[in-house]
Order: sequence, then C-alpha cells, then structure tokens
Amino acid sequence: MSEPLVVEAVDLRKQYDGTHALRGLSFAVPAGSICGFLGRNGAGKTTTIKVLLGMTRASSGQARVFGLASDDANAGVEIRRRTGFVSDEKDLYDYMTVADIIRFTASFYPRWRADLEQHYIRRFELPLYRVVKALSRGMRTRVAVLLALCRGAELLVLDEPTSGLDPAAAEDVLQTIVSHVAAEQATVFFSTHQIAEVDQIADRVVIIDSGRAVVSGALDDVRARFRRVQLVFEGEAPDVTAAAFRSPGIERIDRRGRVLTVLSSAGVEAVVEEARSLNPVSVDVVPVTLKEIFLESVKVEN
Amino acid sequence: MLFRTNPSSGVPIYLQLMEQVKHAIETGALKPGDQLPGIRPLAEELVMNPNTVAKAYRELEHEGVIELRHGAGAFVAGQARGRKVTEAIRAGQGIVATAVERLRARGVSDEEIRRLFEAELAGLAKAARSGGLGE
Amino acid sequence: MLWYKSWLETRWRFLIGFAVLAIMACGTIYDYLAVQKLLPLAPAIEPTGELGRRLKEAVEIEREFRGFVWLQWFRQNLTQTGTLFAVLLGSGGLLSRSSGGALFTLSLPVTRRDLLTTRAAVGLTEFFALALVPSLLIPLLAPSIGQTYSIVDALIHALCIFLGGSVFFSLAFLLSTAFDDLWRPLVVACGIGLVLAVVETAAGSAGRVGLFHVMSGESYFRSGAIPWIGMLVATALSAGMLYASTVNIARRDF
Repeated sequence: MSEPLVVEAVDLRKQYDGTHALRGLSFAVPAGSICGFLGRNGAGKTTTIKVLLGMTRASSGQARVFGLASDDANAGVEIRRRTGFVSDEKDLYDYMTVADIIRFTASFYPRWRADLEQHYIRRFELPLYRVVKALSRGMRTRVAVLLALCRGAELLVLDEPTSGLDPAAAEDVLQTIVSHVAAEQATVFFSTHQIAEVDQIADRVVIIDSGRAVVSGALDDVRARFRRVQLVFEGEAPDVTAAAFRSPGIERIDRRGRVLTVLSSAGVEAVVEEARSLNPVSVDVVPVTLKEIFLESVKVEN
Repeated sequence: MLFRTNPSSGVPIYLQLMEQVKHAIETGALKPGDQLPGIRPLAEELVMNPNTVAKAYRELEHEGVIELRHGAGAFVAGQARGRKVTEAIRAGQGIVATAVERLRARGVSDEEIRRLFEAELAGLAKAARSGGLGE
Repeated sequence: MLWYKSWLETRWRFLIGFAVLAIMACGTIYDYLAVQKLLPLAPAIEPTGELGRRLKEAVEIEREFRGFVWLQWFRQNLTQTGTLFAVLLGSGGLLSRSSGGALFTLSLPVTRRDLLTTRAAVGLTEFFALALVPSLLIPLLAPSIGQTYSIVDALIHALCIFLGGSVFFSLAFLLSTAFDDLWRPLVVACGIGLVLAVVETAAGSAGRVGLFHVMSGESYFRSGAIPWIGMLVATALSAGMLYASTVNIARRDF
C-alpha cells in the first residue's frame, strides 16, 4: 500500500458555461496498477482526462500526475513527456502518412523506443505509406496506440481505446496494454464503456457519475464490499427501510412478495446479523457483478 | 492453453486462477516440480492484469501449493506439501458428493444447493471473524 | 519537428502565393512596354478635382520605369495580393479544429507558447519570401526590356511590404486563436483590411500615416526617406498581436 501515486485528483471542479462537468472529483491511481474509469456518457470522463494532461484547466481543486501540478505550463510539459495518450476520437494528423506521423512523434521523445516501434509496426501490420485519413477505424486506433506506447512512457492515459472496434481488434488492444504493463512496468488509466474490459484487466476502478467519484479503489475490494442479501419470509416480507438496518452502506432494499433483497456496499456481516433478527425463513448471500455495481452507483439522483 | 478465467462471473479472477492451478495439479496436468508459466507470459496469454497473476501466485505460495524461486520462476511444490492439499481436496470432494446426493434426494434443486453453500460460507466467514470457530 | 508540421499545413498557400506573385512580377515588367506604347495616346487630362489630379500624377509617374514599378507593383499588386496572402498564411493555426489533431498536438511535451511561436515563425518566414523573391525578379528581369531597377530599392520596398503586411498576418493569427474555423479569421481580417484601405484613401494626405502607406514605401519612393517610424509601429503592432495570441491560447480550454 505504499506505492507512489502516479495520478491524484483532489476535489476537482470544472464549470463550462453554466454546466458543471466536475463537481468535486477525487481519486488516486497507484504506480503499476491498471485503473478502469467507468461512467455514463457526459459524466465527466473525458473532461477529467483533459484536466490531467493540461488540455483543460479545472475551475478548482488539484490534479497531480507524477506529483506535478497539471495546470502548470512547465510541469505539464514534463507530465506529457512521461505520458502516452490516446484520445477518444483517435485524433491524428489526417494529411500525414503513418511513417511520417511516427517520425514526427518520435522527434519529441528522447526516450523513444525504436525497438517497440518496429515490434508494433510488424505486429499491427501497419501500412507505413498510407495517409492517416485513409485508415480504417481499427488501424487508426492501432497507430494511436503505437504512438502512445513507444514514448517510453510511465503512464498511459487511454480514452475509450476500444471504442468502435470489433471484439477481435478490441482484445488485441487489451492484450497490447497488458503486455506493455507486464514488460515496462507502466501504469494505465483507461476509460471505457465495456465493463467486461475492466473486469478483465483492471485492478483498480473509478466510477464517475455527475462529476463525482461514486466508487473508487482496488477492484477486488470493491467487489468484496458489494453483496446482495436475499431474505425469504413465511408471509409478506416486512416493509423495512435502510435506516432500520443500522449498518452503513445499504444501497437499496427491494420488496417483492415474500422476498426482501438488500444491496450492501459495505460488506455483508452486519446486514446478515440484522437480517436474522427479522426472522426470515432463509438468508442467501450473492456476489454482485461489476456491472450491477456500476448500474446501482450511477442511478439518477433526484 | 492450460488455464481460462471468466472475468464477469463475479468470482475474483485471482481465485479462479488459483482454483485452476490446484485443479491442474490434482488431475496430474501439473506434477510436483513442474514449472508454471511466468507471470508476464501468462498475463499476456490470458489477457489479464499481471498484478492479478502475481497475486494468485503469491496466495498459492502462501498455501504451500507452489514455490516461488527467486529469479527462476514458479514451480509446483514438492511431494509432501502438494499431497496434503490434494488429499484434503479429495476428501472434501467425497464430503460434498455425499451432501449433494442427500439434498437432491430431498428434492432440493442444484441452484438452491449452490445458494446454501454460499450462504453458509458467508456465515462461516462472519463467525470466524468474531473469533467463534477455530480452523 | 513542429516546423515541419507548420510547413505541411501552410505549404500550398505559400506555393500558390509564390507562383501568383512571381507571375505578377514578371507581368509588371512586360506591362511596362505595353503602357509605354499607350501613354502617348492618352488625351491630356485637365486636373479637375482630387481624382483628376491623381490620374494625371499617375500618368506622369508611370512614364519612368522606376515609377511604373513602384505604382503598379509595390503600391498596388504586391500590397493588395501580399496582404491577402499574409492573412491566408496567418489563419488556421496549429490548434484550430480546421487543422485536426488538436488533442494530439496538445498531448505532446511542448508548451502552447512553443507551438504558437513555431507556427508564427514559419508563417512569417514564408510571407517574407513572398514579399522578397518576386520583388527581386524585377531588377533581375529589367534588363530584358532594356531597363534597370536598383536592387536596393527592391530590398527596401520588400521590407516595407513585409513589415506592414505582417500586421495583417498577426491579425489573422490572433483571430485564429479566437475562432476555430479557417474562414472567420480570414473574412474578418480581410474585412478590416478593406476598411483600412478605404479610410486611408478617403483621408487623402492625412492617409500618409496609414498602414498601406507604409507598405507601399511611398515616402521612400518620393524622397528616399525610409519610413522608420511606420515600420517600427507596424512591428510593434505585430509583436503585440502575436503576444496576445499566446495569452489567448494559454488560457483556453480544449
């Protein structure tokens, strides 16, 4: 637990013409981890990433990468020297050829890895002399990934790296990320809509909703905390509220006929104990999938 | 490919991997002294987080199922330790088989049987924490 | 390699401008011959009013090669067309949506100031080439029609065009940091240029302090007085607007 923090967001707020994109976002990403960043469209994922890389300035709060302040112009250069970035639009220079844009990008990074460049050109079968504009979505993503990985970067920030890709291409990107982390000891912060991807490769997760982190931490911890407890009663299930349970983290209580279902985000022991006092006929504890955790956490607040 | 994990099943991936390693040892696919795949190649092959593989290997070492030799890799533990785990599991298989047979005889469905086990494990975990049962 | 990227983005504008101006410069020389034949045919114009006075003056100036070159090339063609290309070269910017890859550029380890400085330097260098090289064609080709033109004159006039025109370059550059598309900075800058031209013309003799007056190098042509003050003011204006561009970009959210 004493890993240095590669990314730290403290109470970030951002306002654009009246809309509040970020409302006090706080999270941290320790070195060497792969952190999945989940959220609904418009929740603030891309804004967060832009703040971290100095493309947008937060209205208040602090964002630190490698311990450096994101909003400082000079620190920002240092941050970007050590960070590989893939934007959600895979925005590249349409008019350059693949070979050109690789050479262009390489010129900015003294630690550019020519060996990785050769490796990925071969692996991705990149058409070096084709203009970027003429590339398919999948090829474009691969070029963007190559440009991010060959920088010798300690941190990879990827905004929806697999969006628009077919499952095989998406798996290829994930595998590239995983093998890069294994070989180069990089940290990864990636946003995605595919919860299965987070399940598969992430060991940390941040779920953002309406500009705030509603869930954040080690993925295994998060999964362990959420449990669904199902109580079956002889007759009608009692109409209890969360308050009656006297334990923290009761997210939801559903009552249907003889069944009472309690969703807890703070572990299950206290709930089970309370539940037994209601005299149910049976008590079942079921793990909750990350998808369900996500859906519960981002329910629209009134 | 010896191992396969299902990220969306709700069971932590490192546990799945641990189970599969143990299963491979039981069935003889991995014998004592055999070398396990390295963390990096395994992570790449399964497209999973290398930290998760590392965690699974650490836990397996803690349980005595495998040995991590510094610089050389992970190896299935020698005869004595491996056998103890295998024997316990084999005995457990018998116990579980009997219990399942009895429950089925009473008309309990497989799904309900599974839930009973999970609830019991959750209850046991709680009891162990409050210092009730010893191991 | 930011230089290379800036070049890639402006090269067609530059090359077209270069071709157009080179052709116009050559045209100026051979036009002189045609004009010389026509002049004797022009009826004597009585100086009636400001316009009449100007026409008569123009005819007089154009009798001489040096005067012709000044009136046709430096004061008219190069000033007008040069201003247009100054605006074209200043528009677009490295970070506008029209050039694409803005987020990619911003993810590079360079400051926004560096990005802008490079783009401005490349654009101004190109504009300088546009002002200078076609102008040098005149002393080069003059002997082919039996005339001569001083290289020093060409250099000084080209410098006036460059410094005056750089104001329009910087204006378009600044507008590009405010507007995201290619067209609005262009239209607004050209619009301002037109208004300025009209005002200067209408102001008559008071227009001697105008920007176009500096660009045309009129005071140098008439009396050999290099318009230092005008050049200094133009340079200061350009520098100011370029600086404002960096400030604008620095505080912008992308």
